[in-house]
Amino acid sequence: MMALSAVFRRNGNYLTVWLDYDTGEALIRKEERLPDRKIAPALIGETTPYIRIPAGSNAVPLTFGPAAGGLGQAGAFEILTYGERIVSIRPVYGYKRRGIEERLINRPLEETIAVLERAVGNFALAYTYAFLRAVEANPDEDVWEVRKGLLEIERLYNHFNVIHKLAGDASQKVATMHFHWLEEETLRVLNRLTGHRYGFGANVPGGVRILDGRAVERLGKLKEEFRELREELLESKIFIDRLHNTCRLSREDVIELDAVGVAARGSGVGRDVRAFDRFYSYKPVTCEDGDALARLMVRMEEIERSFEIIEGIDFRALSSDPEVREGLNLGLAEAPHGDVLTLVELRDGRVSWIGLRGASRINYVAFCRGITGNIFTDFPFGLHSFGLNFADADLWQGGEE
Amino acid sequence: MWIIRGLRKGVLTSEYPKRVSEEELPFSFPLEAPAECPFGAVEDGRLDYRKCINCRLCNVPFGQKTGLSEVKNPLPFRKSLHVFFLDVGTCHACNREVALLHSPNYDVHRLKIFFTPTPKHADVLLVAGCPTDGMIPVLKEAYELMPEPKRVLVLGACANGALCGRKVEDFVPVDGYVPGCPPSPVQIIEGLLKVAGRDVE
Amino acid sequence: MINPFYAITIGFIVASLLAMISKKASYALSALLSAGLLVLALVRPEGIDDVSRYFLVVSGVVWLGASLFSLSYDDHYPKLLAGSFAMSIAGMLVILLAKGAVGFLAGWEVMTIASYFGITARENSRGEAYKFLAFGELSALLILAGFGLLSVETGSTVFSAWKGSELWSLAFFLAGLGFAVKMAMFPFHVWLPDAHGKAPANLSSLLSAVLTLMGVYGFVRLLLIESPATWVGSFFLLLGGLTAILGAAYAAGTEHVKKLPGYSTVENDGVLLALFGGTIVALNAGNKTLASFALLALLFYAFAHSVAKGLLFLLAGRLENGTGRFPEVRAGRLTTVGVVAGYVSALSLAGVAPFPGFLGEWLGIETLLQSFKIPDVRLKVLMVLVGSLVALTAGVAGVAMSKIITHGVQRAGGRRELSAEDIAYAFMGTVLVVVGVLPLAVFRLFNGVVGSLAGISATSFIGGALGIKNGFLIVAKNFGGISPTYLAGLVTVFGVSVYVIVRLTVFKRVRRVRAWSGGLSNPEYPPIAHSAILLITEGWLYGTREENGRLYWRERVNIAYGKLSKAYLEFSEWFRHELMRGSDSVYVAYILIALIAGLIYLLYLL
Repeated sequence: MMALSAVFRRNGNYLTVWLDYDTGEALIRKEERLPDRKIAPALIGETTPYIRIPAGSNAVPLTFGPAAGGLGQAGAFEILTYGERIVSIRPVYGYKRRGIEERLINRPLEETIAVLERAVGNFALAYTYAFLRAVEANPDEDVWEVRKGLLEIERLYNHFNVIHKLAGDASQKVATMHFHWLEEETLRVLNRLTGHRYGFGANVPGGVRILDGRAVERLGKLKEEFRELREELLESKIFIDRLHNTCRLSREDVIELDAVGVAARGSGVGRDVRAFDRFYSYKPVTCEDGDALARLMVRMEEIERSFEIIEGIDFRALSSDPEVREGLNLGLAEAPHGDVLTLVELRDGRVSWIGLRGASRINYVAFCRGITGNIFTDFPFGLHSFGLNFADADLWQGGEE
Repeated sequence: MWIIRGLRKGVLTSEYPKRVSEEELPFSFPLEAPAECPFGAVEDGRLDYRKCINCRLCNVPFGQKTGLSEVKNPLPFRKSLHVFFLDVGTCHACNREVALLHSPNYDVHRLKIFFTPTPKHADVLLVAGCPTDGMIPVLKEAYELMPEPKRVLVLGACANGALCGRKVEDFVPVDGYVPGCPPSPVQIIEGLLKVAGRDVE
Repeated sequence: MINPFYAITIGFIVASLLAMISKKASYALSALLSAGLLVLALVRPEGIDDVSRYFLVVSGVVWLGASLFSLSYDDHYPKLLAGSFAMSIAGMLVILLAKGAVGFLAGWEVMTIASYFGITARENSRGEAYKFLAFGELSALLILAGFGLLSVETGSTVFSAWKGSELWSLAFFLAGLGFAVKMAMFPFHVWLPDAHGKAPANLSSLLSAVLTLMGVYGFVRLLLIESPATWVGSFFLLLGGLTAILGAAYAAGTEHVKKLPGYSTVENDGVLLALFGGTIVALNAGNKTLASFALLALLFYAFAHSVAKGLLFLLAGRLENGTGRFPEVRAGRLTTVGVVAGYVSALSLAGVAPFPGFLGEWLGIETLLQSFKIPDVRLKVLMVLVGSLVALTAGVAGVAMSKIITHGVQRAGGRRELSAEDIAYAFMGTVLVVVGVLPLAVFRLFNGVVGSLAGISATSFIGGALGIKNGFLIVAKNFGGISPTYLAGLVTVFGVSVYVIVRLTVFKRVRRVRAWSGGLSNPEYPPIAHSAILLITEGWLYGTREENGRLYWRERVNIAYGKLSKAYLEFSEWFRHELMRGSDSVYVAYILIALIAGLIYLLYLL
């Protein structure tokens, strides 16, 4: 079945991207009306249909954000509640619409990439991966091997960050600090490897910039460390109990809301771009339960897989000179939280139009579905188990009408 | 047996500001001023670090740099410093770096720096990102609610107008800058210590 | 010489008739008479016994407050209200002054019927008024049954002649059930919140504080004649405990400004019933000290409840707006005096020192937790269980009272001009504070009442130890002790000194800023949120439903009554059609007869 993956506004029409996650078949359609999918309005920025205040309701809408300490980022949720229980909730997009994306257009590709990295910092390697997939016509296998490795390192530190936050929410003080340490150590590996803590500037057109390929050897130590921590953390009944049954997302919800990434895989829907990416041979990790714990288990398993993938890669500086694909092309990458999608139109070697869609834009809505009916104290567990951010959700959808 | 595990690990914390290790700094700062910059960080042959986004597209050697942050008028504080972090439109990397200040590697509490969840308790407003339409009123409100004496420390290149025209100082008075894209935790600590009027050397 | 108290009763009837001419004059006369009554009962209590005197004083405080309040409150109700207000006071006075069953019952009927008419003064209050009347008549019937049994058996309707009756326990139980219905005992409590929520505030204050107090009076009156068997005591003990916890829980859950104090009345009457049961159990177990202490606790609690609740109902009347729910409370309804009085009454009801509610709560729990002194194991367990229920009640009551403070009283302040009602607030609030600090004055008032139970006077529980001056320490013999005066002193000294020190040393300057709520202005936390967690987690108790983004609950008992009354209505419809064609006026005639009987009885007494 095709999932609605992205909707962009273009020339008064809607440009929709449909994706079949089983075969990797993608469909780009020009439509006059919004497709009849539940997620469609959220994809162009309108999330109001997901909250409603029925007549006679004694619930009150509260806004959580946009500068709430609990979020730590500019984004907000509108919550309908009569105290404790979340009756209805929606994400409020737009606080991070910076207009930075307009600077992607009509400049040399390396500059476009530099700006794209700064669109969503902690998924920069995934975005550049997707962008270059769309742009390069005859990719060099070796270069892509390294890019794949970098993407997996990005996955590592983001997954560590999620576990750190979940452990912190459950007041597992020691565990949360250890995972924070793991995150920082991974960033340091990336720093040694690419010269930048978040890998900015590592993916350049046609090549990869690697300063010191041997830096990845340090990941071996982190892997052992992670395995021990994982075992110990999963033994903590308090921690497991807190995540179990929290923010449950059913398989049907995932299908209905076209959720992607870890959120889908945690509910038993194996949506993973790596399953059909030509540079990967990968089988998605899934878990059936659909709660915060299931998503955590998916992440734990994916960390193992990522370590495995990284071990087989020889990180070295490479460059090639691939041809640039002109016209409208789609690039996909499996970022740590879900797939990111870039729809790029190239003209004369420069970007003339671009549409970006981060998984957060979709998955925030899925999160809202999952957390509905839970109580406030479940909120951070649910939210952090998705590992999303608003910078990713507020990306440009091809201009406002 | 978390406690034993924790003890076995020993001390992981950075020795900064006594000394800074090579590990803790990114290698992506231009060491010389390039002839020109696609993102407008070079003017009249001088490199403005505040605007440098560390893209490494210019043709100069790159490496690690410290001591880049500038603070105009430090606070006359001798004891603790309370900081409110406000994201006005980042790419989330700055948020991660600020969050990492609490990691065992940096542990800012040892330096008597504390983060507060409300600007009403804060001495320093740590702003990151280029101000968006939605966040400008929030930024002004947060600044207004802070008690005197208050300082605004700006984080990262895009808060200084590198990528998106706007900068924080257009909306609230700014007292200090921490360059970098994103500034690494050590550089943020450096900026905070300078704001607190403490000796960084 | 005519007994002045009877003269005052006649005065109230005159006030009731005066309402036909002028409402204000009627209320003013009521206020004057109440003040006179209060002074008379305090200074020259001749011609009445200790029990009547104590209850007269307690009622007098509320009557005076409510009459003063009515002067400025009742500006849009029909004259019927003012008339029935004074008339129901007259009925209650008759009850308190009656020396035999006839007067008591006549007063009871006058009170019930007058209140019924008072409730109908409010538009759309038919249903509630009928419910009130139905339960009122049920209670009257039960009392009639009990009294009738005794009168027939002993051949006299005078209370004092009933001593030694063979059917005492059964008759006591029947009459007691009647009193308990009036006191809104579970499962007969459903009428109270509804009727009190609907009635005009001055009347609900009377209904809640004094009308239910009449039940307590009936109990005490009968108990002092003779103690019934232990089973009667344990029955009321258990049901009292259940009523208390249910009342507290529903008070915490309700969203209606006047149903909240209504349910709180249910709660307090539950505690009173439990204490009453405890008195009987202790007395029959031969522990006279404990029995006397229990009676003391009961009487003091009755005082704390009546005055604070009377005051809270007056305030709630001012908070009421639109449908009467908390979100509709508007600013500018109360003056500062009203707000302070609201704090005092709500804190007292929440059992916070140094207000009388705190001491009442303490005395009650102290009594019930002394169950170990009772030899019978089953009673021991029952009493301590009820004691723990009462303790839990005190906790849950805090939720309800903090709700009425934060979402009600606090938000309604801001009115500038003072009026007669502020005198009422100030008067009742002052009474609460003074009694809270110096409760021993009240102890002296009911000294004789407690003494006549088992020969141990109330003042014998007052002592001094550990540096507390003699006469300022309340001692539960062989158990605990407390000194409200010293406690109040300590609270005041520490509170004030902390404030002064902090203000002088740490916070010399004050900066006022807006609230920070994540950068955007947020709506206030809804009142329902105050108790939503209780509603959600204790759904079995509340019968919570959640539909269309709306959280609501309805008492299960109420639903059962709804079904019952529907069936009854169908039955009575059939009954009327088949047997009593066109005899609606029978009821009205009955009411008139009851009124006339009351008057005749009064004249006979004079």
